[in-house]
Amino acid sequence: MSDYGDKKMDFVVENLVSGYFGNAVLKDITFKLTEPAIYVVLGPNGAGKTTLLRSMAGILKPMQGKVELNGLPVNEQRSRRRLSYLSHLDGIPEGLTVIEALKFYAKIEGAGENSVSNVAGKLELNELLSKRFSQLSQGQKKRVSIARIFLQERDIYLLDEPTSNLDPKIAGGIRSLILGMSKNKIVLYSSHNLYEAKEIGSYVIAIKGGKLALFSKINELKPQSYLIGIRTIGNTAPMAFTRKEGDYYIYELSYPEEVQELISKLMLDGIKLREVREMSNPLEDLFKDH
Amino acid sequence: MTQINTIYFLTPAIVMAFSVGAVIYWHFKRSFTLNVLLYTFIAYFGAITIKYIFQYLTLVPYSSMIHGNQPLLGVYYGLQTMLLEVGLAYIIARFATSKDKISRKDATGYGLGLAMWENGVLIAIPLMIDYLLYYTLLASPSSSSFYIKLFAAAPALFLPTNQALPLIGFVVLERISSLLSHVAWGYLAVIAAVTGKKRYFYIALPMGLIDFFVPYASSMGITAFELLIFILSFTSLAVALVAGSRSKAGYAVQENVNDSISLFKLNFRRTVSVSKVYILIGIILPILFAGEFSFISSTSATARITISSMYPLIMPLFIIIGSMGALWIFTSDKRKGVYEYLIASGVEVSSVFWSILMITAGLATIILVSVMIITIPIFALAHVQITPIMVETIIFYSIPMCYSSSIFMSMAGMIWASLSKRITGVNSPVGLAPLLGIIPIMVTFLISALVGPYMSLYVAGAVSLGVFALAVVILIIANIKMDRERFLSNE
Repeated sequence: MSDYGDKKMDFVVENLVSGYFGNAVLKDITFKLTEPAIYVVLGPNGAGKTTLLRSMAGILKPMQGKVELNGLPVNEQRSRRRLSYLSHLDGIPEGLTVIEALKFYAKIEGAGENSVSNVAGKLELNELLSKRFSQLSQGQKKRVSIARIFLQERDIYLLDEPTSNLDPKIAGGIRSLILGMSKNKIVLYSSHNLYEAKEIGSYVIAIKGGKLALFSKINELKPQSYLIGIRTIGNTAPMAFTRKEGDYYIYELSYPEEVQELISKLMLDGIKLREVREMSNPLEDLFKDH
Repeated sequence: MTQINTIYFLTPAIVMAFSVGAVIYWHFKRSFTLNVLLYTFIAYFGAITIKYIFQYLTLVPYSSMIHGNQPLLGVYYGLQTMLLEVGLAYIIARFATSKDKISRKDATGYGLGLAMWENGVLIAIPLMIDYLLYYTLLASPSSSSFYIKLFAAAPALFLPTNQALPLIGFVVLERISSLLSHVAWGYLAVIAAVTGKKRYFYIALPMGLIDFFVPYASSMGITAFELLIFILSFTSLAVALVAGSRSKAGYAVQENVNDSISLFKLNFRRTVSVSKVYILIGIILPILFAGEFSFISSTSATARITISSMYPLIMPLFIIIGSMGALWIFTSDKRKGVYEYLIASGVEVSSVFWSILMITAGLATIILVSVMIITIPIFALAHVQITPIMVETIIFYSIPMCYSSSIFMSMAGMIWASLSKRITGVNSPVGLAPLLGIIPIMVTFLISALVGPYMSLYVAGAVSLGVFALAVVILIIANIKMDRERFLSNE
């Protein structure tokens, strides 16, 4: 059991089988979180990430196994008071302004009277407070939704795809926000984006087909070969010694970040690019090899 | 007078109103969990069942053995209440606490639950049924023999109003005393169970001895007896609250801060906002009908009779339309994932259901009161005679049906929306809500047709009571049995 300050943390998922209406989505998941860090729950769509977070938030009752915080079932009030959950849905009641929505959740969470103004200041929401939630842009809605989880300070944050459907710039802003506001906390952050996991996380919890495929420190992950295929128009002489599969010239890179560098080099060599595509899914490789 | 004085109907009505009303009020004020009603049901009726069986087996031989000695008979009654009612209240509270089903914040609600089962259910409902039966039987043409028997057994039922009112007052006072006593020992039972300190239970135990005075009721006289019982009950409650407040200092666990009243207030405001057109339709249409009927009634005597019978019958239909907004709020919040957050924050499924049902009842009240306030002057201005049968129909049919139909609509719609996956548009529970609301009305008409016209108004009352009872049962079952995933969005 970890102990930082006076807050002991022992968040245990043991032999968890969970799902909906009697159909198991998660099958026999076991892991234990004790260290304050950002744990990225990674997996393709439909892998069971949302089900895992809902089970850990006490929303779904396990069909088998248990989810416990410091030895108490997670759906008990004493456990709930240490958790904050962000769904992939906004969850803001129809017809409310931003301030009304935040005040409502502040009351539900038992947060103090100043919590709304504090969070609005930190998340730069002051200009949005009087607007109806339905009138906001996607990015603004996400910021309001995230603001809600910081109304009351908790020890554990369960965030279900907080940057999904956001453009890269806004997603980056949200990630910085979460990084800044989650010091000394256990944060579970679900995503289907490996690059996002590397940017924000300390650990990765990979789910595949409802089973735990990997639980590891991110910096201990071995880089996989990353294959991309390039289709060209016209002059291909500079690529003469490159392996070809069908219409695609295949390049093996160490990291996805090297793609831009390769493209720039080819363009400097006078190659006209028609298409650049991933020939292998790095996420699937990650699951396959561990 | 060959009919009972109908003022006596006030007794069960008042007792039911304050017993059930206190539970509803406290639920929203302090957000106690509805599990409490289930556990108090078990505690109270468990104790009463054992008491009845015990008394059935022992009362006659014991009375003959003690030769009617009042103190010994008092001990007989007092000990039973002490050991069975207070004792079982504590045992069930301990069980519920061990399962983490109730907590300290439920303490007062637990006492109110015990009181509601005794006064609002065990006492008031049979009393109401008795009075309705007496009234109905005496209204039939061949009632003379029944009248003679009833007059001999209960002459007070035929007293004029000025003499009946004090008796009603004493009965109500006795039930208030019962409420205070049950709250006192129920509250302490939960405090003892939650804190694990038996001294609170030991404080509660002697409160059950209040029934020691039961055999003295006739010898003391009704005024002195009811005042004594009230003073003792009031003192019990004061002792319980003082003891309970002292226990707070050593109580380390922070209370759940979920705020059901916030949920109710916010949703009520939203409902009024999103469904104002429907609310206006619910108010304006019956007023237009009233105007139209007033005009028609001026044309013939037959038309006046039509108004007397038609207007109260159609009123619930407009209430159903006007109160549909609450169900819409439920389905909207479910779709948008609001309940996912509320459940994650520890809000109970039953609180969500309750808030929607209360909003429905609130909208029904707004529409009903608005319609009454406007239509009565319209009838008066148009010289439409408001006949006794019209008033009777409104009281016994329209008002109960307005509430029961709209509540049934919301309850059935919520259950349907929770059980179904993605049904949208006019095929959705909201789209079909008016048809759901008509069901209690159709059931009333059907049963009335079967039992005959004399009983039709009572059938409406019985169906309404049945709908309310069904709502409570469904809420309790939903809280225990309904999977939480039913409340998650399908999107």
